[in-house]
Amino acid sequence: MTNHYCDMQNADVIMTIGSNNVENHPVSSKWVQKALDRGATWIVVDPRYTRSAEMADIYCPIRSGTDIAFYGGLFNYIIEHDLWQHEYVLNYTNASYLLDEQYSFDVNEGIFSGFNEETATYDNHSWHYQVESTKTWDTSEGGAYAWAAAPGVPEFTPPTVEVPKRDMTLQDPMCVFQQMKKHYSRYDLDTVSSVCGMDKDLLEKVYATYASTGAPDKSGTILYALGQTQHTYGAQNCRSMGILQLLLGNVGVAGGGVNALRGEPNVQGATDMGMLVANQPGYLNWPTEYGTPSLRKWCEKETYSDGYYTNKPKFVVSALKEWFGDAATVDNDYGYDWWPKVPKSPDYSIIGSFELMSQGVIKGYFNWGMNPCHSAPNASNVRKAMANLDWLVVADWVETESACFWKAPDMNPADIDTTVYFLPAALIYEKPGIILNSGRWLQWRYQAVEPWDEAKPDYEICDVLWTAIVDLYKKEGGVAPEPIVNTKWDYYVDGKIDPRPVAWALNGYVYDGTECDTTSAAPKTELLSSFANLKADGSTACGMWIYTGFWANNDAPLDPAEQAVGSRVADDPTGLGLHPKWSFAWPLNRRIIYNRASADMQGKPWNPDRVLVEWTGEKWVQNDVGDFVAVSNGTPVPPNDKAFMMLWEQNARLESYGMGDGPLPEHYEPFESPSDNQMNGRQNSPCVRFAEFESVKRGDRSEFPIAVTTYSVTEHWQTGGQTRTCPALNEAMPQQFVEMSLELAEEKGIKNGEKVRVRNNRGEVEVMALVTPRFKPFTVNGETVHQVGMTHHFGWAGEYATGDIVNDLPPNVGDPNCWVPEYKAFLVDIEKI
Amino acid sequence: MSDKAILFDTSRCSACRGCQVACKCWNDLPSTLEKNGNPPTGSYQSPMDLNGDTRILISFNEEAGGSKGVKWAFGRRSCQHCTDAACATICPAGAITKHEATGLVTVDDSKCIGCQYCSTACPFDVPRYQEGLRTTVNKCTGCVDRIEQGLEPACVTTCQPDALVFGDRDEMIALAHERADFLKARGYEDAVVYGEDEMGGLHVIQVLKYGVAAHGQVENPQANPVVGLTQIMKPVTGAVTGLTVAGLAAMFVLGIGYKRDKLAYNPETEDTISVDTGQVVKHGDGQDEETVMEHITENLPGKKGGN
Amino acid sequence: MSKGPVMVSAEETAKNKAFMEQMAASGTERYIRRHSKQARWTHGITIIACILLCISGLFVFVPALAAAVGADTVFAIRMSHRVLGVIFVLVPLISAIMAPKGVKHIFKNLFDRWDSDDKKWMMLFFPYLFMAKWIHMPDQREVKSGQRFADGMLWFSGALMGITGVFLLLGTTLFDFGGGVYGVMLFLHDIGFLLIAVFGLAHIFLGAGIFQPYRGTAKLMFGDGTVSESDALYHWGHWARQEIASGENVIEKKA
Repeated sequence: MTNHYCDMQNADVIMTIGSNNVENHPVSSKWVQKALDRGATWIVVDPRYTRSAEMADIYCPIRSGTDIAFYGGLFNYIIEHDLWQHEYVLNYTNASYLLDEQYSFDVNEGIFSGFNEETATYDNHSWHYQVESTKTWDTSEGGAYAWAAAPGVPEFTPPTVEVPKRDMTLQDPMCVFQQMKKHYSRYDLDTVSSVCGMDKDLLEKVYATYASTGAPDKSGTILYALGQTQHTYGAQNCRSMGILQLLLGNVGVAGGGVNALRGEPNVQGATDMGMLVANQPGYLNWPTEYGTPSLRKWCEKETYSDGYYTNKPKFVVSALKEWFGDAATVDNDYGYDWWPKVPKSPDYSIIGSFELMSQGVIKGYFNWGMNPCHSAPNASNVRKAMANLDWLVVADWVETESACFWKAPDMNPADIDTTVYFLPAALIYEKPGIILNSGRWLQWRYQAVEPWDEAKPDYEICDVLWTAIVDLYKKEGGVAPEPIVNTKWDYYVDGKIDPRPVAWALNGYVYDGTECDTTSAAPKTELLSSFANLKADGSTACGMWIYTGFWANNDAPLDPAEQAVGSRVADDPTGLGLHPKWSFAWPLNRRIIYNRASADMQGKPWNPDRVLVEWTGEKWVQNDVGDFVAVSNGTPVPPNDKAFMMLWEQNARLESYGMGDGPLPEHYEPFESPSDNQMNGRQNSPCVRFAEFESVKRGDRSEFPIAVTTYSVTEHWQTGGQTRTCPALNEAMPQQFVEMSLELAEEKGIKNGEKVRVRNNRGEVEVMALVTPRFKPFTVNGETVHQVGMTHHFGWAGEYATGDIVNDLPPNVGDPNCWVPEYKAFLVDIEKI
Repeated sequence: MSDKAILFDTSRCSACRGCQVACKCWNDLPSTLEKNGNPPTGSYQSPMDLNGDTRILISFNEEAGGSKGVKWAFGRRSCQHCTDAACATICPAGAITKHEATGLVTVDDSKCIGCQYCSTACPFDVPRYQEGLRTTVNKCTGCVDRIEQGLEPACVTTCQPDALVFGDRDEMIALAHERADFLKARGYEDAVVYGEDEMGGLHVIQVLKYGVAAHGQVENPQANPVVGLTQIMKPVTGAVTGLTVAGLAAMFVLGIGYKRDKLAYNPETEDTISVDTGQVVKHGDGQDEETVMEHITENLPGKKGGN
Repeated sequence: MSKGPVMVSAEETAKNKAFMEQMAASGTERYIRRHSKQARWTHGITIIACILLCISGLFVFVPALAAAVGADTVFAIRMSHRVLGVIFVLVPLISAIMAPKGVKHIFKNLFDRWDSDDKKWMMLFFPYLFMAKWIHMPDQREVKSGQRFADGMLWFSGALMGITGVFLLLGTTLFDFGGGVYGVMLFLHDIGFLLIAVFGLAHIFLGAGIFQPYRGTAKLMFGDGTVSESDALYHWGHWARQEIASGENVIEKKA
């Protein structure tokens, strides 16, 4: 989230889209209610009438996978009706930037300029800005970038600052605003309602309601979740939300923002930690074989020419210092070469990994805290892939479907030679540690009970494994022992692995001032309070630069209660729900990021009742920790237009050259769609990943005419390992269902509560039919399209409640930016059993 | 302590059923451990009704209509904690009682004799029975055990969106009216407050967004008339039986010293003869010819009764 | 019977004297058989069940009793109430099926015509209860008019208790009749209890011979089912004369 849960109460309009926030993020309902009590309007856009829709003011049904058409129509509506926040858009976004003259979009072909049909990728050159002038870094002594030339800092050529051409009248046809206006002019109400299967009047009502937050003193918030992301254009859906919020001046303000509701209590933490194929901790990019094979290359490619990310070398060197400790020196590039490099090919993301397993390339697999035999798209394919493994290690706290994949109904145990090791893991309540919620709050949790039987906390399992592996390498050598034996691993208190020294490592510290492996009760630490103190010369270590400050009290470095992460003071001095002393929000305890944008060019807040930061004429008042340069060299910095300092432009991007599949969101149909694309000449996103895999077995609407989306219910969580072990939850939600309209049920002769078979080329499942007026057929391009929805929490594993694996059905194709699979829109057929 | 109440605001309820689960956890009520032992319901609602192990459930009623095309009305099925609690009145064992401090209708199942009269009496069809060696009543206790320790009922504590609030009853009523007015102003014309006067006033006050029936609540609930009748029958039976015993005792006392002649019948002469005196007391078998008054007075005064 | 000695002819007096002497000399007394063995067993089992039912029922009916003994005991008592209830219902039913003629006989008597003696007896009954020493009752046929009423009430309330009891039993086990039906049954069960209490106590008072004029009647049901000639003539004069005259059910026992 750019904002946080408590901030929802400040919104004037709330739009839930691609989320069922009440059901799957129950705490959100509390804050949304507070907003409603204050007179806010709540819109829910969803294919079915959810529990959230019931609580909302306006419900707008949408056919799954047509969000970009919906947003495009809204952009068009806002521009046509001149409802955008002029001062904000003009100054804080790239609306005035002129795009390269070669930039274009071909409606008939459905592609932007720079597309290569053969590789199905774009060359984004033409999506860049026209350059007005260039500047270079001043690395001389006393210069702004003197640190880059200091001793101990890895050598790299600083990037050149390109000053883009702008037209502040927004009249130039190549300016981003004019290009957007032109691009979305096709998204008129009639076309959009025909694509989305919406009632035109209702659509207009939703548009008008949400666009009303374009008034400078109004704020609108978007709550979204996997319904936006799990599409072959999921990243573009997210971009759309960003653009919308920028047009209406809703980013950086209280009650605004683009708010991803994370589906697991700690998924935010997992994301921050870099559990991703492309990211390492703190959203830094992993080294790649092809782009950043050396530390020098990394610094040159990844360091921004301007804005806060000019500091990236400090973050990466501090990370390396934490990673390799004493072994990391400037002479060996701080051990950068020991880091694994992401290759161009093959692809090691989730979907790609199982393809490699099928091919016999990956032979061993650590399956830690996930359950892909149940949760991965086309899950039966995953199970078949796992059967090719020599060994599989599963760390979990119940025997998940992945831990017993050979027992699947479609498996023959006699044919499987995989050796499976099961490591019992401790529950969240059986270990101390930190949890991050969607609002980026880091909260310490104490251990409640001892782990059951042989179960161990994950970090202890890691320690046991790591110690044994290092010993083996020390004893036997091996192909490349350095990355292993040089890795710093000293997170012990009294000789026992402990999450508190790990917290120091994440927070960052002065390397020579801190003794990590501690046997004393009062260890010596020099923990850092801000990532501004990080150095690129190897004198600081930091595993997670964005967290710096969360554990910075050197007076009691082993006591979580004395750290910001353990603070539980509920004071709310502004009444805006910022609660600055309750836990710690990264970065730097900032509750609402981009908060500079909450005030105008003179530093006056758009809404005097919702002051986050304010320029008094002499200095900045900061109710929230300012997300901008407020003071430079001890002098207050007067207001300027640099509201988004995490981008080199320091202005937000309405158009972005950074996306893999287009600089502006454009509607394409889902990979498997019940309809033709009405917006342009290309049915699907030109860049869909993994479509070439044989295992995808794409279905056609002539055979599988029913669109389906999958979702969770509040009673169960993910693959049900935890919740299906709770009898009371099984009682509340005993089985999976497919929700369908009365019309479809009648057509198929299906009665409520009956068992039905849902199938496509990838699999078939038997589930209960839930016939309900909450689903209605869509009229798309004049034709009736039936859509159904399925829950997916059940599998064959477990003692109490079992069911078929619904995730056998979705296709294993992905978004080109982040490889997210398309769970939310695909095709099936349904038959009565 | 003044009367307390649980406020249930349907417009804030997200039907997550945390209350249902929290109730089971706090009160140690089991759910089936049989594999796939819960029957399919064709609804989000499960179980479909209260049972011996379920004291509270959220009901799901859906119908087409309203400004959003569908009305999905969530309801709370549980004890309403009546002021005039028929179950407590009829309970012969003192197992269901009014908790004086709060007005809640609580249960001491150790006193329950399993007669199930309470379920007969309840206008909301609430009390259920836990099967076991001894069948005992299972009904919301109002969590008075928690309240006495300064906590809220388990369902209230767990409620994330504040659809359940616990507090002084008059405050809850005021809050409920405020909410109902708010909802009406937002287009929910049928929004009403429920529980203010029903059954002498309930201690579960509800804000019903779509009106009483839509949320599965009982319009104008009345206690089973049998409750009053059975309560009358206790003293009546006692009094009548007492009178009977007293009368019989009087008869016995007045009968002390009674004796009569032995009789014999000679079929030949058709004479009924006193064996003691040899006198014939009746000839033949004809109908009696004296008047009732003669019967009463003939041997008075002083004469001993004879045959 | 009349108020005083009846004057009869000398010849008749002589015959009577000879009859009396013969009776005295025989060393036996005459008894009339009134209740069969099956009737006595049926009655015995049923009334024991009935009494125990009343007692066990009181533990549910009277809150103080329930509180005094505790829920576990009351539950056990309640369960015994059900077992006794089954006995109370089944034993008379089985007996009736075994002896339909007896049933017919009972009901014929219950609904027999009321002659002048019957009506008079009924009118005299309450004064009689308090003035038994002074009031002579009119003769009665096999079942007294008041007895017909009282026994009828016992039959009625017994049946009421049996039927409502079955409903209450099934309504808490196999079926759900709903609060309405169940409640009515509960109320009728209470009414039945009141009737049983009143008529049962009176029945015991009279039938067990606690009431002095009825002394010895207990033997009718708990003895050999016979009634002495003298008692029969006192209670059921018309019936006794008829039986003695026919001699069919008359047996002689040693005095």
